[in-house]
Amino acid sequence: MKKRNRKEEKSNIVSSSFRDPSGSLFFKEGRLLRSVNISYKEHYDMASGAGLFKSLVRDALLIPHEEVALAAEGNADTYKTLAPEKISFVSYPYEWCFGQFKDAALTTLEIQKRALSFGMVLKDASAFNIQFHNGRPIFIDTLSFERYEEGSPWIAYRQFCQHFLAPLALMSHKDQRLSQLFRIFLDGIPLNLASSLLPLRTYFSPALLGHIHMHARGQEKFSHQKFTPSLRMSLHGMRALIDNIEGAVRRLTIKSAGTEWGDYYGNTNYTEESFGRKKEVVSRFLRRTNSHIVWDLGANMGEFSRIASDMGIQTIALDNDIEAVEKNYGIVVQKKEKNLLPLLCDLTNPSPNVGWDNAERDSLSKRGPADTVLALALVHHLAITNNTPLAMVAAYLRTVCRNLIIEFVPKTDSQVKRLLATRKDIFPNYHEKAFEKEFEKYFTIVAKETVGAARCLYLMIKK
Amino acid sequence: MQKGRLVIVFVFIFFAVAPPAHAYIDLGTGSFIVQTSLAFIFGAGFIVKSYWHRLISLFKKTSTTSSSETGAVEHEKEKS
Repeated sequence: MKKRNRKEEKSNIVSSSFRDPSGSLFFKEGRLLRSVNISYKEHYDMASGAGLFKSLVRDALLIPHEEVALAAEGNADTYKTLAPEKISFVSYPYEWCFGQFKDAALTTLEIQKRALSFGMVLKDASAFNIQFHNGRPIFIDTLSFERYEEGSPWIAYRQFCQHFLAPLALMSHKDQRLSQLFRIFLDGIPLNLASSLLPLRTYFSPALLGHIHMHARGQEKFSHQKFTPSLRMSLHGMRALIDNIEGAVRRLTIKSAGTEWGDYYGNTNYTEESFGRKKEVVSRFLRRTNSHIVWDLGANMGEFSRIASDMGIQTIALDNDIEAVEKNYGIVVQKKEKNLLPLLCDLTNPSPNVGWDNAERDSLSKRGPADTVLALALVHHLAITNNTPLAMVAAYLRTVCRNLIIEFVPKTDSQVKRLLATRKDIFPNYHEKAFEKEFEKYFTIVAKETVGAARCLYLMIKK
Repeated sequence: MQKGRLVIVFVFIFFAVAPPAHAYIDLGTGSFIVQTSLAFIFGAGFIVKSYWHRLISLFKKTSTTSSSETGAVEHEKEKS
């Protein structure tokens, strides 16, 4: 089970589960459970009885759940308790590439359409309600459905625009890195901000003009006016609105600008033979670890991540190059890979604890530790590009894994020479002996093998 | 912008009373007005699109029936 913070241990309620009065997530007997409150009974029974849950679960759009006879302590308001299928790794929108964002948006809209056909509606459209499970986006909030009232608007419209349409439009029309705004704006990117950042040409897209630019103006203009529910929106109007947003999302694309490390595999000093040997050594080391979850730090397009995922190990491929993550995700989708999740992560500034009380969304390390971390061709980037002392690299890595498969790349390597070509060498302690000395403070070196000219691969176990 | 205002006024006048929305997230007055207006504007196009798809699916149905029959024959062949 994942590590929990002190407040969660005390209350058993998941710290991100406090907004929706329909129910909450809690831990009991080592399981993550969802309580359904009596106030939500009507909607739950409708979604369950009418077959909406069954339909969504069948098409892998909603996380499967079973009703269990456990209740949250001290909650007399519980109608049912659900045990949802476990998600192996929770990811957040600011860790997704464009393709993942787009698939998550389309999944949400598909669920909304499906709900409407069952006489129900999505009452929220938070991007945090989507997780990647078995390689595809899946909706995890079983209590997000309510009975559709003829004439009522889509309650989650603003949220969908802020959580999906605005970031996607910004990534598509401005810069992919703008997805990082989500780290600050956890309820989605404010539409007036998105509108001000988007280029003029987006005013010529009827959908973006309406859902972002006019929407932003509308919010500002009517912000001080009391909500007067005197308008009605027909079911046909609702479907037209969803159809239009869906079309807008589908039309959004990104142009590949060529990635910094995108051609890394064809640009190393590895010969085909030593590259194959490196793969063989990593594979052999990995088999010695008995891992269920592996994090590949600096995964690029996932060449080495796939050694783990092909063994049936849940593998998280983290990289700070958004284009590499995009390409990696493209391969996952194309090959229908179920065990690999590419995510955007800058290890020099990994996802922090954010949200209410800094406890709503977990930092990267809090979502660990991984059984095994792969840190291949990574240390020289941290030590030389980011000036991080080897002692700090070792101290950090011991917090995120139990086993470590790590590569040391010496100064004689062409990649390190490239890093040092335009700067002064201020790294007298960057050498193999110092590397081993620092890592042996926290790890036991159980195997060491040379690959390529002078690179070394290590298998280490945390002390 | 003038055109946008006209649409909003138009929608206000012509739409009837709806049940109140009780949501735990804030719908927002501006969002409500914008989505109602857009639903109205995009609604006409959606009618055309829906009928077009129905028309297309009629033709597709005919061809799908014949292709699925072929598939069934192939399946039978495999079994034998």
